[in-house]
Amino acid sequence: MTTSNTISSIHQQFLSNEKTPDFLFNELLQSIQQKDSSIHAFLHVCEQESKLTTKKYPLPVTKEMLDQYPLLGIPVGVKDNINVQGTETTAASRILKNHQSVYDATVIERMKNRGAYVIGKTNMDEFAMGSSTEFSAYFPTRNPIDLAYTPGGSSGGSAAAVKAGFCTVSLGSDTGGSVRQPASFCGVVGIRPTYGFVSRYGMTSFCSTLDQIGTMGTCVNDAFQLLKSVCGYDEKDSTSEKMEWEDLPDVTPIQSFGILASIERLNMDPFVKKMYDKVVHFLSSSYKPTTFDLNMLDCAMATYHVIADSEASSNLSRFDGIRFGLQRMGTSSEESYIRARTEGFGTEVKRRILLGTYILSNEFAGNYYKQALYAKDLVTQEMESIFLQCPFMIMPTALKMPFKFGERKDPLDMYYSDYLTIPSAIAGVPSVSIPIGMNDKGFSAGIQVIGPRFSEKLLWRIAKYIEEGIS
Amino acid sequence: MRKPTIGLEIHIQLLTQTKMFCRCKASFGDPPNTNICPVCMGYPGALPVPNKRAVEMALMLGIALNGSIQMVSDFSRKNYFYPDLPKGYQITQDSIPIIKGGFIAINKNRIIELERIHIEEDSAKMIHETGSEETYIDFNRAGLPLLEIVTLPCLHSHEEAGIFLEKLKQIISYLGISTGKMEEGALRCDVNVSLSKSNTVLGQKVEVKNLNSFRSVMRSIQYEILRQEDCLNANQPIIAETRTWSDEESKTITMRVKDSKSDYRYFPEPDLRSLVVSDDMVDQAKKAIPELPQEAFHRLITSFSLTEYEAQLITSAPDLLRYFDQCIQDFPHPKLIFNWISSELLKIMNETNCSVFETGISPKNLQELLKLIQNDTISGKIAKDLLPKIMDTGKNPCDIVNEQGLLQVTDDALLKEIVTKVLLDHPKELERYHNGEEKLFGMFMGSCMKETKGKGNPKILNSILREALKK
Repeated sequence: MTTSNTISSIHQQFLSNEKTPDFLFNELLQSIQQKDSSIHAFLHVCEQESKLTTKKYPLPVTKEMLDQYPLLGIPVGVKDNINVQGTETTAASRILKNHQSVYDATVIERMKNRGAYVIGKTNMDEFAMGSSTEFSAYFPTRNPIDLAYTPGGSSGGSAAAVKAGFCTVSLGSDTGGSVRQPASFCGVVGIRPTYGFVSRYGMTSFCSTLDQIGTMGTCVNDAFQLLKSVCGYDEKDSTSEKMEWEDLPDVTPIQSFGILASIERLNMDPFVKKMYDKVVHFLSSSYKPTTFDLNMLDCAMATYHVIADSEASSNLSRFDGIRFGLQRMGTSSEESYIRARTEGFGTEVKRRILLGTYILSNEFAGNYYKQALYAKDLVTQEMESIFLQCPFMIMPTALKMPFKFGERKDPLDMYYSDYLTIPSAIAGVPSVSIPIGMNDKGFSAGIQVIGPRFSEKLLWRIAKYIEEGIS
Repeated sequence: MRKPTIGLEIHIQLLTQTKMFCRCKASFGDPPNTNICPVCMGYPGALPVPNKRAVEMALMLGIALNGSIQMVSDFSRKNYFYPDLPKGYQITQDSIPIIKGGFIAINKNRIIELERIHIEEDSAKMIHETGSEETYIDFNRAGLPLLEIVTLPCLHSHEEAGIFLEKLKQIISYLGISTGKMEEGALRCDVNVSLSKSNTVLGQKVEVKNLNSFRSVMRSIQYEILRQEDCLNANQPIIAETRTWSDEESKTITMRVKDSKSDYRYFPEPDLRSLVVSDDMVDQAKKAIPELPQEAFHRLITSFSLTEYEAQLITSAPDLLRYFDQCIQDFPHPKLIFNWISSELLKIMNETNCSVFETGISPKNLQELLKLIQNDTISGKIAKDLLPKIMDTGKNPCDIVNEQGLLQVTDDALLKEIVTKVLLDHPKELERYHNGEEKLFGMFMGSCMKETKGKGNPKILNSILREALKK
């Protein structure tokens, strides 16, 4: 955790006139120009827009202004599947190459209203399908800690940009772990909020049932500050909950926390295990550890893929080359679709569309999907029952430490990267990944704090407690 | 002879202010692609939000057609690729429609049962320009709210289908939820026809589409029954197919043969929650239902002693009934009002292609006009002549009568003078009359009226003339 780069330290610098927002931007731009050619965190840097915005902030920055605009002058990296009006939003796909967004996603509108600006659109696995950012149609993003390693994914660009210091905080999307896993790989904090707490309006849908926009920062406070600014009910998203940050339940005294009984059976990296034990040990000095079983853990993975691929096959049908994006005219509309989609989609995306189409086909009469929704309910119920016994639980974010490029060739191996992030995604509960320790290569292990729905205030407190106690 | 069985699928376009899942204006005839937004264009990241008014309208129709309201129904996706379908799927209702069952009585002894009524969104409109290879798409129609009404296969003739459609259209226009104009596509009807010798097992059905009038619906059914009868008599199998009706050739033509390829991969729409209807909404819908045609029909017969024919005519359209009801207020002369509506006003409506309220003759003015006849101020003939003046100026008939000196002549002395003059002018006819040719009375009467320029009170004139002829 660096302290010079946090929201509060930046705001101190603004107040003391050490820096102005546009000075900060110019510094960052320089850093991006020097270093991003090797990291490739950004698909697109919003240079002109940011220049204009940061010049417009009234000076000097005052305490009152910061009270009114809690993200004033804060540069945000935005995953490229989130629409920012007037910039390219490609979801790292060739099929959306040069596609200009015609509107702002709700999260963008909200962070701008709080004084923040979009410094750039970050790289990702195409349509958020992947766990390494290797499946971007444009180029892979490299891990700023060691360029030979992947930054994780799919929000790899957002994690790398924060780690590299290109932006203070970033927005990502988490369908099965796509915020938390790259946060853990890059040694930053990543939050997946309660499903329905952050509007999905303006985020290119991959799996509507599971997609959530999440936040990242170098420290717990920053990630939560950004979440606090973008969360809350949005009438444009029918799946959003009528809940505001102020309405979240207050934190009540805690006696215990949950740990997974079967964790020893999992094939965990020794360093991950060591850091996990460290956190458990640390928390045990204040709270009573309670072990529990998560019987649905093994089935969560299959549940995730059935739901995610089914919905993806339908959500990605709109990319037909007719109204926007890559256009390839054939002699019939069918031929035009085939040409645009064959050329426009990458291998992993095609694999999932095919799987999803097959799963939903007449052959199974939608039963696979229905069964998966049923299994989702079971996972949710099981997790809810755990939260009746203990207010939060602890789990590693990823079983393994970051891997090198090309190391995971088998798609199934790659899918297992999300083994421990999927259950909370399926249950729709919030989870924060915090970096713990550092191995000889400079990598931290990510440890998740998971709570029941709308326990974000509690998670903030616990994550901060761990961050302060262990780093 | 085999027994024909017919089922109908009717789509009606709802008269809402905005589209089904976005707030774009819903209107007919605007310049192409002017009422569009990211949602109805299927842009990445856009999400649907249901239109409450459309739901209310569905409830109204469901209640009016005696269906059973499903307090919780679902939205589903019907997936297929077509250039007029922006998202690559249509949002519709599949497993649980908002209304199950229901019926329409087509006469005293026969009801047509419905399977369901559900809500869905319309597709865009494809425009094929004659003489051009190009096809254009107008997305103004994309996302307009539709109700699909599906009957059970329980109709047995084209006449029944015709009456059913008339009744349905009548109810829809009474509810004010759709124009029901088939020529504008606000009402579309597909038919399924099969023949069977058995009462329990239906024959292979054939679907007919592209029917643009009630007449073509009826003719296509007639044609299909004969065609299928011929096929079966010749021992040819009926092929499961979709046929299209050609008005020019007066026959149905194969459009596409149904095969197992069409797989819509229905699954619950994950961007929407289940559609939950509150008791409050049901109550409101009930209150919003006006007097329906059947009720009005009975009221006209019992309260105003109109004949069935007369009541049928007045209730054929809601505005005609409203007009009649306004005319009869404080002027209890139902027959007189009916006669004027059925003769004069319908004639004007046909000539000008206007609705009754658009003729320019307000119910109040018609009432005034009829009052003038009733109290012998003007004759029926003058009243008829006055109609165009009322239409043009919108003035009160009394004022026009006063201005133009059209008051009826009731002055005995003046009328006597006229009678004397007429008799003097026709000595030969007078002689013939006195010799027994009494039918000449009409001629004398006519001449007298002509002398008064139609203003003479016929009753008084009649008695004076009779008196004079006695001499």
